[in-house]
Amino acid sequence: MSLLYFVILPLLASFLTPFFRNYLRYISLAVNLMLLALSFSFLGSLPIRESISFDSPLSIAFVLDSASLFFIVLFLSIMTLFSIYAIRDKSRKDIFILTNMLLASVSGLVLSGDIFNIYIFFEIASISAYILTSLQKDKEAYSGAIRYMIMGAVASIFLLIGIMTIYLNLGTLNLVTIGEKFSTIDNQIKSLTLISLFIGFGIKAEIFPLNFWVVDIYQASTNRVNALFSSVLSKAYIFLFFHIAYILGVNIKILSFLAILGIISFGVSEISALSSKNLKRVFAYSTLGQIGVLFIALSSSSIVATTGAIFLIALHAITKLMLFLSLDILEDRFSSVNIDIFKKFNSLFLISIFAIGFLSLLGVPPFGGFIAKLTILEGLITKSEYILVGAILVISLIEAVYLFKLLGMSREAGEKSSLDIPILKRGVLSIMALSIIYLGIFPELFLQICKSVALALVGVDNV
Amino acid sequence: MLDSFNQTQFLHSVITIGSLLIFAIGLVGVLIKKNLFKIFLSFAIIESSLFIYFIGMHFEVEKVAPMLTDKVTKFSTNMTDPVPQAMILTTIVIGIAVLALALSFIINYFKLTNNMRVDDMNELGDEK
Amino acid sequence: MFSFEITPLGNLFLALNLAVFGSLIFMKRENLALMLLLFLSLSTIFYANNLITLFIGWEVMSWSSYFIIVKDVKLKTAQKYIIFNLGAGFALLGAIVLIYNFSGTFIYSDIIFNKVPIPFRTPIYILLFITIFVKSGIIPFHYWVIDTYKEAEDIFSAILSAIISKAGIFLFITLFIKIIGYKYIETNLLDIVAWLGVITSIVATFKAISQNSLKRLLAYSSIAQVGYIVTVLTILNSSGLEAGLYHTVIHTFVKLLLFVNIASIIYITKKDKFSELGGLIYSYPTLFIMLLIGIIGLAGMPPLGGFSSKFLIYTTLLEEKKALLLVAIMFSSASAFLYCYKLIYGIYLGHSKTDKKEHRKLSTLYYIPQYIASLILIVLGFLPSLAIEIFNPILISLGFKPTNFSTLFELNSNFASFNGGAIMAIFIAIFVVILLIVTSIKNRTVKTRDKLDISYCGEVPNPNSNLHYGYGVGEELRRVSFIGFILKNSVSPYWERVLVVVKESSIFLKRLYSLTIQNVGVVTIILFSILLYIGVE
Repeated sequence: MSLLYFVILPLLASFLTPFFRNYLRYISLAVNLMLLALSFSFLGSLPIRESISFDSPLSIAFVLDSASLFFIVLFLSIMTLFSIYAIRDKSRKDIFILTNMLLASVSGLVLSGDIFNIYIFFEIASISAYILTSLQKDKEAYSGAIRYMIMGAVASIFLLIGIMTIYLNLGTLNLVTIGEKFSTIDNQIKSLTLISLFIGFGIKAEIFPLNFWVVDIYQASTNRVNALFSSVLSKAYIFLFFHIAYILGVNIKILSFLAILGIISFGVSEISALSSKNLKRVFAYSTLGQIGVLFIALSSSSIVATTGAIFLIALHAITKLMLFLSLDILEDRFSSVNIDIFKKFNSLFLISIFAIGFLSLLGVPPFGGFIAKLTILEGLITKSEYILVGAILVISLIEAVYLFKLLGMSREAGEKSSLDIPILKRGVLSIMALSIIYLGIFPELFLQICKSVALALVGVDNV
Repeated sequence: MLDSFNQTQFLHSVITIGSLLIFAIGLVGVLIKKNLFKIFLSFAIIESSLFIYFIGMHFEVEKVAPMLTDKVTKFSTNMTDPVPQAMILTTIVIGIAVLALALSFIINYFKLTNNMRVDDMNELGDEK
Repeated sequence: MFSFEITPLGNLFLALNLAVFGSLIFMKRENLALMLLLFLSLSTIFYANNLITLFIGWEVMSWSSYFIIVKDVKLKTAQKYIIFNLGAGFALLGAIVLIYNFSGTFIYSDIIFNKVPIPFRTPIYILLFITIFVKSGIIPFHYWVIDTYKEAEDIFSAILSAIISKAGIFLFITLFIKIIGYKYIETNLLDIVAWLGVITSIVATFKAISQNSLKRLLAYSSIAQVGYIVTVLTILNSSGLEAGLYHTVIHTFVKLLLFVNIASIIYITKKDKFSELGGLIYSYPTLFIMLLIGIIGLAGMPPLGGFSSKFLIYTTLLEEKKALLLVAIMFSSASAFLYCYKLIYGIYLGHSKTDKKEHRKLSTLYYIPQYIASLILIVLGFLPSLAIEIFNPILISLGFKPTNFSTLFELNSNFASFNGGAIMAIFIAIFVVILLIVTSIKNRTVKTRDKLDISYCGEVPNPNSNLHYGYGVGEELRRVSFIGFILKNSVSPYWERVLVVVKESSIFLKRLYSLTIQNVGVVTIILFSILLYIGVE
């Protein structure tokens, strides 16, 4: 069973749409489940290296190690839950064309073993994201899509500069070979390469000075698209950022720079979220904040913190999926995403979902977010990063202000209308909420998995 | 006398300077122009400059194109590196696709708002 | 992650927990799942063997109580509640992570605090004290307490005051005495904490006297009493611990009694201010007697149990030669009489302001917690060393020597002892004698026609002035400059300022995220050039 299936099957499902347009949803779900089964079949035989065409160093390589497998399973699970959620909506079935393309390109990003392939899948993912942003076809959507394209073009240009510099100096595109030879370049060119790659990947990974565009994009897209962006796309780019960083061999100075950017990103996003009145923007700021925490955790040189970061990635993907899909239900009912809609509904189920999601985002026990945050803080403090730990705790308190304001508004007395949520959506949201609670109470097995992923990501010699 | 110009080093310098100039033109366009079309065209210009630079830096004077013809019947080290050429072909195609997509977005946006200036795109943003 | 151990200290607090929840649970019809979660989280805190379990219990307590109160309180109060409590939780997390860093484990018995290097000990202490102060309402972290107690549902205010404020005390005892070990803490920090406790009690006592709302008075009283406990616990030896535990037990039951009594009054009359109440003794004598017992316990007078705890506090401070603290606590304790008096006079005595026909009927469920609490207070008055016998296993488990006592009737301390049984017997004898005298002369007295007939008084009040002088207690205190100063100022401006600063910075930073896309491109190019200039090595 080849690794190519992860890329080919969703693309086929997407491109063959004219033949089975009405059944695309079911076929997408079937493809997701098949690929999940396929990925579990690879569990015993990691790592797998597969070459297409010739042998390295000239070939195109696909590599599956435990980190890539974890991310592929994560993306497939998110997609499966999303497909089940959206499977009954006849009016919006066209989203599946792009969802499949997104899945294929993101799997390719995670699996690919040479840098130009990464660029190709990067572009495919970007194109799917641009079209997904504009799905509503109103002027906000197109405005958002155009802005996204401008930033994406900047990112791809910097990425291209970086790749070209690498090839001109090292003569190879294969990631493993680049990793071995990278330290032989002289400093000026190494500078140029690392900075271009940082900006190129950093724009998409949404780190501080490069993430001013993100919040507008979330406002422009529909909530389902935002769920995919937040859970799948940003996580893929973060993985890519650090995968390349650890392969190229970054030193302590760069890692501390990334950690500082992470904490600034967390702080600025959470403080800005306080005064925002649009719920999509509030959740976008929250996503940016969590990405800041991930940057801090992934750039500490501690395996424990990296384990916590991987745990947080999985947990945050599930949490944001749940929150955005709940917001989708609210928006359908009230046609607005102003903060005030929280005062207007009266559904115990939805309030519990929001409460579980917010408490997990804050890192409050007994939900999964607490385990993630605790592991990250443990890892950071064993590396004596006291200021970072203190800053994370203080900024989490600021985050609590606006999240609890939303919860408090929903419990206020007043005129409220009830919501009618179909069983399927309730089921999907409950599965996600229960998994967050489960991961909070019995995290040990999952932490073991995350630890092996962290070891694979960082590379055992970098520990 | 023209043979003295036919050296790899000289050609590389010309290519470098030329592509930097084109890059600068494109960069100025991206940062300063207000019309949406012109911004994306400037991106295309920047990408062209990168392509020229990349292909040009792999060009050596004595080498031939990496294609099998009647005269050149087998692969040898006399050929220029085919990998960057494949890379750039792919990247050109990607660039065209993205530009076409941008064009369709701009057209649809213009139909809805009659606006082609980046400065006046103010539908998004937080209400105060 | 979850590990428990049955300890005597945990048993005591669980017993308090059970008593409070058990007597109140039948009065609540909604939020039962959240109340169960609150009860379980408190039990988790009390029986935890592991810092993570402690933290999990602490946070679940914070958010489950938030969800219970959020339906009744105003949004701003709920925000204050959760932000302060979550802040306390995060401070606790910071301290836990720091302890973990140096001792490598979370389990209580494996932590050797010796391994923490000296520069890191004070930050850990400060973080833990922040947690304790927020939960117990020590100034200046008491900003959330008053409004929350006032606006929450009446029964839940009883739970808040009786047991949730004791979570901070439990944390104090567990962390400072059991884990950190009382030998390591230097005295300067403890002195500051002791003075903060005393200042809290003085300020809160005077603010309590001047309140017009029933529940706010009790809220300030809660803060004052817990201030005593915090102060006396800073004496980290067996007498301090004993005094602290005794006052914890007494205060739990006293506040349970008082809050349920107030809840009954508010339920009956639908009014919750002193200016609208009065003269209820004639209709509800049982409630009056309950409140009287509560007042006697609160003020710390013999013959009831409240005196034993005050006695132990005073003798502990005297033993440790902390004269100024002792004077301050006595001052605060004496002033507490004023609000105790206001409480009982303003509601039950004086002129009646409400119409009996509009009163609602009180169900018997309201009486049960009051009976239980008064029973405990009376028993502890009779047999003060009963509590000492309960505390001795706790003292042994924490490494102190148990206190000896000769009989259960006598309470011993290093300076003096008193015999509770004898005092109670004398009190009952005198009470019976006076009761007989009064009932025998009752038929030979002349009733006045009307309580409002003041023709024999020397003053002529104007039509608007209140003849019920109970609720005005505290008005004239403002003219005393020290007290007037306390009453005029509060910490709210400072906390509000913090909120305003954060909001302003939020609006300022938000503009970064609303740049036009070309400016974002400019930022990127500038970033690129700066980084290129700095270089990577």
